[in-house]
Amino acid sequence: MAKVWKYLRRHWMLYAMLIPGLAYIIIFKYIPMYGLSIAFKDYEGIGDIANAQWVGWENFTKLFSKAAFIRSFKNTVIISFAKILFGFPAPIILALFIDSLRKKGLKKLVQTSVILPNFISWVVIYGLMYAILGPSSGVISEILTFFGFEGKIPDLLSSKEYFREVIVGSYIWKSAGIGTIVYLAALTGIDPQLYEAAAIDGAGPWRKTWHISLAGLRTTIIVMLIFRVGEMMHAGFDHIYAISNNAVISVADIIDTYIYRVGLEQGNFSLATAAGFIQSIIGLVMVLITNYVAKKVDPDSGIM
Amino acid sequence: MRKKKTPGQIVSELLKLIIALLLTIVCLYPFWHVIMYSFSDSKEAMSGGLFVLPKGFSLESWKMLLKTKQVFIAFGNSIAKTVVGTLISVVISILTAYPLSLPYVKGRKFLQGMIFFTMLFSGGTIPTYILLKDLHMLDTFWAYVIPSAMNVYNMFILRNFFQAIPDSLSESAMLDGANHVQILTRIVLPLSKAALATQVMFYGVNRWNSYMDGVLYVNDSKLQLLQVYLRQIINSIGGKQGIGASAGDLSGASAITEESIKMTVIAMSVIPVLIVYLSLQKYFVKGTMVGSVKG
Amino acid sequence: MKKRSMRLFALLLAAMMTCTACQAPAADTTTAAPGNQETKAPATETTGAAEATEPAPSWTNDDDAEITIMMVQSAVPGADDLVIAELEKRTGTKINMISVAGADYAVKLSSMIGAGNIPDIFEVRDLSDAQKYIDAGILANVEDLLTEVAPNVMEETKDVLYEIPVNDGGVYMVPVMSRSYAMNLNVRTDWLENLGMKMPTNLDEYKEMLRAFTEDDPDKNGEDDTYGLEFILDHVGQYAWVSVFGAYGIPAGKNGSAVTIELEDGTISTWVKHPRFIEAMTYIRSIVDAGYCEPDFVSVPAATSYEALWTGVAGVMEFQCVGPTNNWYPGRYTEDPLPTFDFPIIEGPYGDSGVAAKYVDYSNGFVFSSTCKNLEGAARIANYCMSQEGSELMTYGIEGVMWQWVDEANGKMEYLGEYTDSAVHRAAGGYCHRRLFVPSFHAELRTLNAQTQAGVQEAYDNAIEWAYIPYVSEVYTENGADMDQAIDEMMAELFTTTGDLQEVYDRWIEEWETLGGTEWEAELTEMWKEMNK
Repeated sequence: MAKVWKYLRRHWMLYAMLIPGLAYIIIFKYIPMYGLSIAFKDYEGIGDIANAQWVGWENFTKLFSKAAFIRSFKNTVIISFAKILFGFPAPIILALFIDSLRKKGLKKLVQTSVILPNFISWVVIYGLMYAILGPSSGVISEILTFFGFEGKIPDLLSSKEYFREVIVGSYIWKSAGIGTIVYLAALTGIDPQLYEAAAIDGAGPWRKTWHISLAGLRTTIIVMLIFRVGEMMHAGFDHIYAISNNAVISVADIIDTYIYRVGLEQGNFSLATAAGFIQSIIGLVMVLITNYVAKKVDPDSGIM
Repeated sequence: MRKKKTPGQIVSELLKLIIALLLTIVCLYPFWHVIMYSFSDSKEAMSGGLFVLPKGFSLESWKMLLKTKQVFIAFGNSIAKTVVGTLISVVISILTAYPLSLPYVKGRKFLQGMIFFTMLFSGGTIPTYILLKDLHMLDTFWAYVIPSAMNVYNMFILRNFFQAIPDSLSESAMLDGANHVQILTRIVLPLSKAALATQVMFYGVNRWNSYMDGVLYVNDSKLQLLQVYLRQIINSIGGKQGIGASAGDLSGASAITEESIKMTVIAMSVIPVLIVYLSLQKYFVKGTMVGSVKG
Repeated sequence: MKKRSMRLFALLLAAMMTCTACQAPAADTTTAAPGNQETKAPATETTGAAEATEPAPSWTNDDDAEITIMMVQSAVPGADDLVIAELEKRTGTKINMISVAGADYAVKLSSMIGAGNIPDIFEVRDLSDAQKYIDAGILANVEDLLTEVAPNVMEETKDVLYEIPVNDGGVYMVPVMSRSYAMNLNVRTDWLENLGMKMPTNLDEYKEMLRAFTEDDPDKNGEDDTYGLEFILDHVGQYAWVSVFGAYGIPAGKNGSAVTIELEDGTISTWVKHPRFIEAMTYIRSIVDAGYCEPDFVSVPAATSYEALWTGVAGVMEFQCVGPTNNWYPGRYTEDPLPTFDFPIIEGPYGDSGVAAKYVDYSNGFVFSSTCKNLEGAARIANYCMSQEGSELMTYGIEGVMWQWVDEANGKMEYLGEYTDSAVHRAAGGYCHRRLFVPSFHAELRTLNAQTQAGVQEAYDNAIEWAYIPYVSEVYTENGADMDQAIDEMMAELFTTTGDLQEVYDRWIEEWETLGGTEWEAELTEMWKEMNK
């Protein structure tokens, strides 16, 4: 008991600091959480959620009995996995590249330009994608025609074979830049003397990057990865909604776009909440696994 | 030995330069296109394709957006929301992240788990709306800042930065009799400029761009946000709905197309962000922290 | 996470749940409060009746109470909304207008209703929603009220008011009386002239015209830079190809369920199951495959596709003529001289023509909240908006200040002073609230130019009747999104496949039937029989 008292007397300020953040989390995040019960209820959006009738797992069985939901589930996993596999390393590589630039002006220019795509809405980006990739009047086809190419280039925007590549590619293009900010900030924390010491030992630029920069970014990378897998089941509603069409929807329809159709458009709150619940649970499992693996590899990392 | 570059180094420098320029073009062009389109004559811009300079320079779409009083009211609200909201958010994030970054704080793992959990699970729109109604926050300025006072993702990033600061510094200060608040304000924060710049950037952009709080919680047009105003404009004139409703008298009266308005709206909302980012960039310089840490 | 913290965690969660459970009844009383007031209303009525001299109305009429109206906006008003101020003056009410972008309407309305913050007048866009609200008791029955206070509403809606399924035991919903515009085939007559061609009257001539527009340099600029028809895949059935479907006697609709037809055996089904569908589709594909239309119709963004018409790349587009010949004219067209249009009627091999008939939409209307403190004022608002004067105010703003008639008989008007600028006009509320209680002959229709008015009428007149069933279908509520999606994907495949159309069609129709189509047909057929008894 005395020990606890001593600990508290020494560190009470730390706990006092936590009060606003925790109060916020409890009031604005945990109190509304009773809304999750909608997933297990028949709620039509009128009146008290508490009064709505419990239906058990009915909303979930209903979802999984729908072929379109299963399809969207599969697409979500595939698209998300590809986005993580190819998209997650992109900002790290980009940040290391920007970091390696010596000329200050050039560095600043690159550093600023890469974040810009993040601020342009998907609808406008799609317009530009069409202006570039469009098979009949796009920039690429015009260039090819100029060089004497005859015939039609494949329409990437309307073919099932390439559409997932289009999704992942455009995703990387839009988000990699903004993702560099955290890594660039983390790189500022690395002691420059480490690089000098390595140079004296005769390390080349690649070894310096690998042993010093990447090692210094390790914990940041892990935290970012954990957050990324947590939202794995959200594969980008705005993105898919803006760039997909009915010719490719069978490979692009994700849970969020599916729920938009059946949930919002038809006022089906219970189904939408149940789908959200599934997404959250899977996210939680993925986070716990990633966190566990991270801690096995490096006890100091992870978020919990 | 340092001054003279080997041929290999020259080649790699050159290669880097080329990649850097390519990256710049690929990322800058779309934004540039948007800006140039907004300064173009609607009719001339329609003939399509990509262009580097405005087609038939025209300020009409900017004039149209900036003509009304409402856009300035909305702009002011958005600025106030962003400044006040970012300030509150950064302070709360610092206060939460710092204790959680210290390994000896008891209950830390549980608290982190509890906070992280809310990142994955949320109660949804209706319960949050009811909460704000019960707190009498609907139709007040506070609906913009309080319900999103802390972002879990940002808080964890900050915690991670704090964790990277060597313990030796705070330990020696502790021995000198400094308390936790003093350590935070005098040692930790001055060493975390890049991290704080990140926070300001993330929170700021988030605040500036978010519109759902404006749509849901506020009806008073004196409190309208710029993003809500612009979204409504785009929604009412553009998209399937606007044109489907046969475009109304706007297009009858003026030749400004939906596309022009859309581009202008984007330019208008991105330029402030760009200015803030440029002014924060000086903090992302390597080695700012380490000088004092030595030892 | 360790086990211990996990347990703590669960405890906390449980605490949260109980917390909210405690809180719930509290919220209940606040939301129920207005309901209590409503139950009080009959009490005041009985006391009023007891006095016998002056019977008090059975509805609320507190003119100091603000009436909250929520609807989908047409444009964005500023903080100084002159139109609403004028509406307040003319109806003696206080109005709080919440107008929301269409994309945000559903989520905002559901939050407000979920929280018991019900707007006094609001727009309902789905009959099953309206029925849900009635069942939950949040809508007011305004039958007596409208009869007494709102003669315009009763007169305007007299043919349809009681046809609306939710107005079964009273009047809960006032429909939007304006029909949406029917589609026209907009054809560039100046191109026809350049080519020395006549307006097509049948499918062969139509195809020949599209070919000539593509191959014979209709704009005479010496370049191969034009094509016939502009369309995008997303618009098939809604705008695109509707005249061709119509020429085969098929009333096409936005999606599979938008238009329902009676098949030969009496079954009610989607328009896609019309026996001549494949025949029409084969004709359409012959044009698509020949390249007489937009080549990138799958991927071209909608906005870019319209530009093909505005810049003289395409010579034909199916759309309500209000766009091409009125609202976009002349502002949107880049050519000099301006293009000219007319609207042919194309006849098919069996003598059919026209497009799907437009009926008053029973699923779209305005309802009154039972918590409204001034129902009488709300009825006055409805009454005023449904008059010609009201429709003019809501569409163009204050007459004499914002606009005036030049030639009222022919529907010619002009904006005044600073309001010639549409941005200023809209900031003052002009055009923003035009969808509130719209009468059938509304101000916009009245002020269209002569050619457009004739075109609108022509499209209405050449209508293909279909089986409009206004009732809520349970099967559709349950499976409608999936069924419609199947039809949409079938369309995409029919337009792009290199295989056999019949095979694609059969496969998808079977899919559609298993998704609920068969049950839906049975349900609708039953309803149709009931309606035609």
